[in-house]
Amino acid sequence: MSASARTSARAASLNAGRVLTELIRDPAMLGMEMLLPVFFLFLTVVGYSRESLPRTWIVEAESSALAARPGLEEAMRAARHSDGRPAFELEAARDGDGPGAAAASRRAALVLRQGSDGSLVLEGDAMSKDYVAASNRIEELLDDLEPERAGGLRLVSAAPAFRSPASDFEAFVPGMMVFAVLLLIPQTALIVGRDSRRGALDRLSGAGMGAAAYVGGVALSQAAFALAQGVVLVALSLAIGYPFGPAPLAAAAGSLAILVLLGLGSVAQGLVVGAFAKSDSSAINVGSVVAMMQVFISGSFFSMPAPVVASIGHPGLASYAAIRAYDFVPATHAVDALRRAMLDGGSGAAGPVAAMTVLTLAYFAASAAFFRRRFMRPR
Amino acid sequence: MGPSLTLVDITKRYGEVVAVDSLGLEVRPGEVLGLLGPNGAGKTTTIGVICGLVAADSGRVLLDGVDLAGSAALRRTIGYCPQSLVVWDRLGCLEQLVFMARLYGASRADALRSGKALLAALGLEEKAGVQARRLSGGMQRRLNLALALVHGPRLAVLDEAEAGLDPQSRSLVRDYIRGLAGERTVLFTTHDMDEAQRIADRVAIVDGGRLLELDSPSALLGRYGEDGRSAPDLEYVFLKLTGRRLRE
Repeated sequence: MSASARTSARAASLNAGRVLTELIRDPAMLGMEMLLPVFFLFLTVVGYSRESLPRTWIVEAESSALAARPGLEEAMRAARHSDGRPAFELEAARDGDGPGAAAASRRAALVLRQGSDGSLVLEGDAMSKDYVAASNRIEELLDDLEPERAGGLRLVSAAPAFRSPASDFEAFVPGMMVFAVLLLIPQTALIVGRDSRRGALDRLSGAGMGAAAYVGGVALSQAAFALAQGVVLVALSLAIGYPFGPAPLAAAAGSLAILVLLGLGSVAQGLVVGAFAKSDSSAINVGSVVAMMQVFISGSFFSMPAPVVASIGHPGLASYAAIRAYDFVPATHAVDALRRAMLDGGSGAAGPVAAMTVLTLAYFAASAAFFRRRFMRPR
Repeated sequence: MGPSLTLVDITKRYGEVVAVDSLGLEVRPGEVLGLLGPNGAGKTTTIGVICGLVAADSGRVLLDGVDLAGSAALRRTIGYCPQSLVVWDRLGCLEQLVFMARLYGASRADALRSGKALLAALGLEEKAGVQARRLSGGMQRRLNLALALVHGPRLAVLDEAEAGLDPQSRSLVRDYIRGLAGERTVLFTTHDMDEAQRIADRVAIVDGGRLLELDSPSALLGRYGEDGRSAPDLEYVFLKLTGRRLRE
């Protein structure tokens, strides 16, 4: 190791100690970093059902709508969830005569109607999870019955790559963990914003601390918190009875590694946000927006459409591959990897973990570059 | 003996505004030099250039005749006390002094020794373990100064280090800065003319980024007096040179 690298490593470790000491002594920051994750998991335990998911959807169907599509009624009655329960329970709706009893009492996921132009209308509350899931399933059945609906091409339909969550509880715990770790983004940005606002960056720079040493120091201290957060989150998940796949301890260890890696990715993004923040408040505001946006686009709680940035092949072909906006977010890959680790022993998690690693390194490199440009050199 | 500091033709522009305009200045080895000027005169920019925080558009800064540009090791022999309070709220006084000293390369033992000595010299000995946020404003000011000096710099650059101090603290800090002379070279800025007159060997008066005068306070008082009498004080000289127009 060269002398300058040794000096830089020493400065980074001193800075890490400084940041860590300040954080540990700040009840608000400590609470945000350590108590919020606990609170989030507590919310999941009390807020989400452990009952099996998905439910059997009640569908009211007009007889004319079914008659116009031979085979649909049989396909719906035969459709099963992965655990063998029926997917649909069909009830009759009177043709063109308003909702039946199930729809009126909102028990029905949706109502199938025959449109005046001959189309099939799926009527219901489009914001309801049951409506979305049931209508997707009906569309799949229709694709099987009427391949020409997809332009003659059979839509690619893959079986889930890993065991699907069996309940809301199983589905949302990994998302909640990701959400908690993403809060390291505003927290890290706040540390940097505070140093920037009070002129500490000039003082540190005057003492010979470079951008890499500063970024490394903040990252090291926050990595310690990421590890502590991960341990707390995994231990709590075990304690509240999350079914960690076939080998719970190995799955828990894998989940911890994924959470720590996500923590590092969040710290790196926090540093990027902090490099542009002019004050504590702008740092925490922008950092919070970045974190919340990622909660949505990463699919932590529900899937979201995202614009395609680049693609190979043609939609509808098995070889089609698209890079979407959410692919640039470590949280997207973290949710994927975490669900695989927590539900299915981690099979297939290597890809998402590799993507997270690449993105984390890229964000760290970007943050060091931004710091060098904005702070740690003469203005 | 402290080093000599030479500014050669320093110019710094911010867009259309010329903050420092071909400024030349020599601070003698071991001297205490006061850099005086109204708001916006270019004092803080000049200090920023000396400490490597501001890049000059042209000119050179020499320490003992050696160009500071590109010499990180030489820059580390400078101690910079910023105008604003730059202390870490939740670190103890000694903790942050040790942190800064170690950042400059001191061993833990040396950093502790140096930190304790500075706290004692600046009347903060009993506050060694107290977090900065629990100190009074004046104590924080003294800690701010200590942070600039804990690594034993050869050149101390102090930007309004005494602003906001009560008379007792000011007297203590003034004596301390005066005591640095000889072993260290000190360049300080202040708006307190009385302060400058008391502790500076020489004062440089700048305005519009240009050097207007550079001499000892007594020589300036003699030069700008009227009717064969010395000027009453340095403020009189200052206003005579820079005018009474209010600055932004």
